[in-house]
Amino acid sequence: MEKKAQVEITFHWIYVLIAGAVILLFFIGIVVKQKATAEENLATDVVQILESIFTGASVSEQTKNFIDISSLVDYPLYFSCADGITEYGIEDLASIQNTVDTIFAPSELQAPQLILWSLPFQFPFKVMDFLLVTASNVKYVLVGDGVLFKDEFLDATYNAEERLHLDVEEASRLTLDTLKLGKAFHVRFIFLDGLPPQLPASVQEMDDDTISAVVFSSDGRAETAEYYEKKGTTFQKMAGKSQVSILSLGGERDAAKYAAIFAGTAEMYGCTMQKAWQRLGYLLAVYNAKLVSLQDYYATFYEEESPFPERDCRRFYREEGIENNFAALLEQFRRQLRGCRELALNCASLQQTAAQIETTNQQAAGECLALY
Amino acid sequence: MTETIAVLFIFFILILFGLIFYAQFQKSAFKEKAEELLQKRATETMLKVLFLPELICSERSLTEDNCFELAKVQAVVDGNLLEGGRGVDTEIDQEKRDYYFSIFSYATIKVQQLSVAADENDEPYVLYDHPLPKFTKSEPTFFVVALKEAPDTYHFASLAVTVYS
Repeated sequence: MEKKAQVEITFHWIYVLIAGAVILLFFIGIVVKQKATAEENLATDVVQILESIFTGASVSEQTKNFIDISSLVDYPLYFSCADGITEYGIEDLASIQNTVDTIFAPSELQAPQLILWSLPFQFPFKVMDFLLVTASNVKYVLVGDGVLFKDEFLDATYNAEERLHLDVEEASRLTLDTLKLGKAFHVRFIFLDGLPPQLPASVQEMDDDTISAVVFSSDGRAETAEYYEKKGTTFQKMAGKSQVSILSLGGERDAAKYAAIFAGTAEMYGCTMQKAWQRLGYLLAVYNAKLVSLQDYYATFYEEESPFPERDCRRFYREEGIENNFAALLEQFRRQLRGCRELALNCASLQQTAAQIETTNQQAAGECLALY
Repeated sequence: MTETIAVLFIFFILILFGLIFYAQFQKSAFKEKAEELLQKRATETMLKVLFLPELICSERSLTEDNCFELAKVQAVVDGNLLEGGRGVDTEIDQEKRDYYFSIFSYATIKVQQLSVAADENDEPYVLYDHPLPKFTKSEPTFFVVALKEAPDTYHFASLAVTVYS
């Protein structure tokens, strides 16, 4: 009897221990699961907030936004674009895909401050705002003697308040070797007058991943940007696609050219520009419809043939008007755009037509209603 | 033995209460989050519409804030341009429809002219109408914009953006 009681007490304690362990495991499981979920939720929230910030920043034309992300300094943000889809987020934790916005950014950023710069892309009318993304610890070094663009870019990126300007430095081929680059997360060289024969001595010791270059060149008609990366002690063309055409109408704050500086790779630039061409195609439908309304407006305005055809506003809008009338140019633009969307190499022809539309618009605006 | 079963029963009842309480809490938190997201989407959609190149006023490449061009608005409505158009190329129409859907998602965008001279019975311009089938909640947002009628005549207009969930 006594022995049976002893066994029962031992069994009772084992039973209590097992039950206690199961209960403990149950709560530990919940805590672990909650922790993982909370981390995932936090990353998702951060990416969603980033998306909202990007939306706000991209529509605020010509503005620079400096976003404090010091709490994310341990998490690398990544940006990529393939098949017309931009993907960005926190590596291995959360990401978001975007098929509409034109975001030009380095492939990776890890910084206490994010810089977002919105520039309108006019080709020739406003197509959309390009969002240029960079960080406070990304350094841009402009190299090119006597090139006007250098001064313009320096002026565009400078702000008297130190915390509100991009880290941009100018250099000449002579001063390249003695550059002080500090502790930049990434250094992007912008060569405006060709690639130097050898890698600057100032960067030879730096990690390959931290150095890249974009070389602008022009044959007088079209401008190209070629992307390079550091490989040991030389600059080598980036793997895969390394060259892109810059299609723009020039002028100050040239969004297409600025975007080439901020895009991490030629692949990203080309892929993101395809989104701009897609939008341009849709906008063209709106301007075609507006052209019809302008044609109707002037048809009722004049009613019959004007005795002064050289002052007749209809000449800008009708097929039978001036040589570079809107009707002919928009149709040509539409056809070229279709070709461009099929094959990126065909996009070069767009530039001339865009320039012609711009000229006709300026002529029309002087005496009649402009198209845009 | 009966005592042990009673203790276990009460323990599991307590666990069950805990789970029910947690589920209720999560449900209300989820509801709150959904509402917050809907409001955020309403604001973002309004922002996107206000700066839409398809609608904004432009003159010699300069754009005017909070201003829509009547000719563009009419072009968008007549051609149903934000919803794929009325063309014959259904592939392009579908692509366009998908494109604008990824900008606005399930939403309705209307512009109503508010000019004193305007007839009160004037129909609003419906630029985009894509309500969520069997939606449970809608969030309307309003904004006053200028409606520019060539040549250089402006009207007041109300922009209404409704998003659904």
